[in-house]
Amino acid sequence: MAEPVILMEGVSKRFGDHLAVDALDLEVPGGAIYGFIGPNGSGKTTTARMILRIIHPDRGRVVVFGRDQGRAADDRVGYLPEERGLYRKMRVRELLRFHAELKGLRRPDAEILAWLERLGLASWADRPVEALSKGMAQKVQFVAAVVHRPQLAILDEPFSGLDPVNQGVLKDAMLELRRRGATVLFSTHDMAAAERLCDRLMMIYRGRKVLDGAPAELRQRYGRDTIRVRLGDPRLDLSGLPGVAAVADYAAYKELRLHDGADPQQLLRALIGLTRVDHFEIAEPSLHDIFLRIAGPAAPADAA
Amino acid sequence: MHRDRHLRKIAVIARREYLATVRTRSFLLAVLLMPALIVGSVAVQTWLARRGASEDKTVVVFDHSGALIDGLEAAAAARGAEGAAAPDGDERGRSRFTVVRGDPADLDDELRLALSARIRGGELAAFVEIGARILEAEPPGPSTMIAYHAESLAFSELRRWLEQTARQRVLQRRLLAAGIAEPAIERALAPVVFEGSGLLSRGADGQLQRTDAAQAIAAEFAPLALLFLLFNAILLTAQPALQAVIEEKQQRIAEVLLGSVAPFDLMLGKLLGYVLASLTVLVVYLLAAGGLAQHYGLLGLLAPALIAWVVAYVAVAVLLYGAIFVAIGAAVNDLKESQNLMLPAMLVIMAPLFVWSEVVAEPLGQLATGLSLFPMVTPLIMPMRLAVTGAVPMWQPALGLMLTALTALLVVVAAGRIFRVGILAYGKAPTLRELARWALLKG
Repeated sequence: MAEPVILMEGVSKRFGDHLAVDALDLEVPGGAIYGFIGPNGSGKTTTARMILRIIHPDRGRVVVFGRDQGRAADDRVGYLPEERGLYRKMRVRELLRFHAELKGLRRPDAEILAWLERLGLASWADRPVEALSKGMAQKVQFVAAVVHRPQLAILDEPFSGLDPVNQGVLKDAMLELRRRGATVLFSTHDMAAAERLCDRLMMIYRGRKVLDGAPAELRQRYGRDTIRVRLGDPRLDLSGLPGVAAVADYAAYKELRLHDGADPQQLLRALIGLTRVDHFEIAEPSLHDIFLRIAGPAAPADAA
Repeated sequence: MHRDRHLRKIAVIARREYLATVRTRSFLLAVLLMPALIVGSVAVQTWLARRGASEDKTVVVFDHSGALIDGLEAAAAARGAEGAAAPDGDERGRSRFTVVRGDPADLDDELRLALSARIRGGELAAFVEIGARILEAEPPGPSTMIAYHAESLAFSELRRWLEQTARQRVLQRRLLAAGIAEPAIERALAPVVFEGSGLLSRGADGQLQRTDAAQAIAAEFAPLALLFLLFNAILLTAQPALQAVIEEKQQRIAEVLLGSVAPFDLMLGKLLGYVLASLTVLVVYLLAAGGLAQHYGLLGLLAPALIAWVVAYVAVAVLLYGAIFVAIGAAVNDLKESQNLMLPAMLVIMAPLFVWSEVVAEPLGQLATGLSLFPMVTPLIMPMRLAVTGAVPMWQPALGLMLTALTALLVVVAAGRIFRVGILAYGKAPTLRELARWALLKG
């Protein structure tokens, strides 16, 4: 594995009574697309801000590109914050030039045009930002974050508010960044996107890291304790059946989680006794399921 | 971190902020407004003066004493003839007055009401009642008074003319009654000429030079004009600074910027942009003033040393006030919340507007000297003193500039700390005590 681009060791940050990040360790390898999942208020944005040196940890080390000192943001890093913000009166090209020059890119015009074309925004280059739709403004904001050819792009919820077509466009743009050798760290609520796109992902919950690894690896770690079924009578209540710990209903099929050591064969027999079984699969849990197990309302206070 | 990288980022921020400030329509409007107001008011006055010529005014006079009416009639006729004799020039601006004789015996409240109605209708300009014992001056009361009834009392040329003419006639008749010969009275009542004149100086050719009256009057108004010019140049950019920061915070632009630039550099870049914008305004104003001064031959009022001081003071003033406004903008959530914090700041900045007459009257006095060395108001008071008199010792503007620059530095550092904390803090607006705590927070 390549030298880590980001290395965090025992990092804590407190705001008043609220411990936003609690003893976080993190290692992001170079050239990877690294997903960052977790519910709202779990410390994702605080972590991103510490990597960007917008705020500073109370305890621990944040090393970016081998450097753990410094106050000002690194020009090799690009940042798309969760809360979008653009100068509304500026023209798109002018705004992107401003952001590129602020990051030290000297002749940004060709790069700006290339990105605008890639994202289908070329004809809007000389329009003011306030004339853009929300989705277009978000793509402009993305360009502002990556136009200076960063080696590390930190994207907070890059897909939120985009339609499926534009989500695809943005996903391709992120792959393009990785193709150029950049490391992409992005946070999302969209587990399917994370599962498809990430080389590696991490889940943070209540300021602590609760998951870290490649998606397949994580699913395996949570074991083959998930049963996916499609039944003749979809309205059947399955929660009382032998060995069943939890039921998730997805309309077309149901996902059951078994207690440790419960026998799937016993469950199958019970189901056949109740209704017709169209589909029965012993599967790895989806990321979504893992996410809900940890962060769902029923999750214990100390999930780890 | 390399220093030139900091400087480059500051420059990029400053350029954007400068363009964003200067390009707005409201800025352009405000810059053009002041010269337009000055030119406009001159033009309107000239136009009004010309227009006034065609407006003749009729006044009805009820003379209970019977002693003045002939004289007033004659004076009005003479005034009209004088105006007609001089068809060009200033005299054209005078309106013709007609005195109509009213019968005092008819005068009752009904007639007074009727006359008032005719005045309101624009048919008459005024009516006058002259008391029966006007020449005796005793006893005090309606019989020894002249009552002037009109809609406009304060700024009426007719009233001034009537008052002056009637007084002259009354004095003449009283002196005559006291047994003084008429030629002696004429001589005694001849007007006394009192003219304001400037100081003398010796020119390069050894000739004695006099300041002409127009220049002397202009010199008296120059400090006030300068005060408003400075005030405008500073507030035109320092105040939008507050709104700009609030917008950056509300629109979450600040966080994007902080991903690229350190908070202190961001603030410094913004302040430099505002300084440049203010100096742009100042240059526009100075060019306009220079043009006017040249046109009227008053170029002497714009001494190069004074201009140099003014430029330096505007620069530090924008740094000082701009830093305060930027810090307030970063601390609050919206414009409404900023009002509480703005009030004390604005009071300090406006203070010179309340004491300017004192400063102009006694530019070397204790109050003027003391105020001009008090950093928060130095940038406005000191140039005013320099404009009034050349006798301010050179160390005073120099010391004032140093003290203000030092204060600006302290305020910028404190504001930078408030900015750093405030720009990412949402929720309840901080109290003054919390602001002070932020300002003292290091690292």
